Amino acid sequence: MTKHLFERIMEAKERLQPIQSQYRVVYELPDGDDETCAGVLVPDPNWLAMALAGGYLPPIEAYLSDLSKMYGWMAETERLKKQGLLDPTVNFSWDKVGGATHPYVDPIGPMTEEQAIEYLIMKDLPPAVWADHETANKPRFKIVRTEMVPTDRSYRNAWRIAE
Amino acid sequence: MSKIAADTLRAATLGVEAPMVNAVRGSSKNWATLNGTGTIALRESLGISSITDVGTGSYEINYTTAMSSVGHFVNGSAYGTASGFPGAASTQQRFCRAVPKSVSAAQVLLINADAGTLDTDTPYIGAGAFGDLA
Repeated sequence: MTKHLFERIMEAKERLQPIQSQYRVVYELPDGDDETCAGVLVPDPNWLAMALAGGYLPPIEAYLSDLSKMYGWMAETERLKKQGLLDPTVNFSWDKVGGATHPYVDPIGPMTEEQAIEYLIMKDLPPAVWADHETANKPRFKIVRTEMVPTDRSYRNAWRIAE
Repeated sequence: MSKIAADTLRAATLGVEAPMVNAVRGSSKNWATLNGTGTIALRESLGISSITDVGTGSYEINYTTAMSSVGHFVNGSAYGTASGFPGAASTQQRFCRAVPKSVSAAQVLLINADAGTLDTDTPYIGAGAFGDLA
């Protein structure tokens, strides 16, 4: 029986040395207004060590499937709440959609750092940022080397993706 | 892997007892400490896949394993100023608001307690999530 993902994380914490990523992901939300600045996704070193070692993380499809279930529930309940058919204080929990999948599926093998970054984009950034990156008329994210991200944060809230 | 199955934990010397479920459910499942100045970087962490630098004084912490519900508890703290740790300790404590953003992430905001607006970045930010895992 596959160990729960949290058990695997605890094992990895003991066995693996953390690895600082040489990449960052700079992104912009497609529905952001002119005041919304670019965000920067920073991979966790312990997570990256698990990704490169293999045998710990679930396939990205498991996360995406769970996200789909969650968004579907939220869309349906939002409709019901607006109609007054559901208590507005009811919040999401996994038991409402038959449970989460990603903690229980078999882990995948090792990834390259580039594959891990792509995995992380799909896992931790909204689908609106990456889902149509091949057809969108403007890039909404860029994978950059860490040293390309400014260290002077004086004008942090004015950062935008360079076109 | 071996497993200890018990209902109660007991401190052998003091004789204090607590239900085992307290140890399981009361422990932090996801936590991180980070440097919020310069190039944002994680210092130490457990159960985190990434952090997002959203803007000045605004961060998100993404969990590797989701929590069971959006009602889980998140606690956070922040210390220092954008230029490090100058001055008296009393001037360095930041007001930190840490709340669940979803079952898979927490939002951490550094608030200027007087103005009610987002505060400057600090070199020490910590946040942890408590509750049941998915």
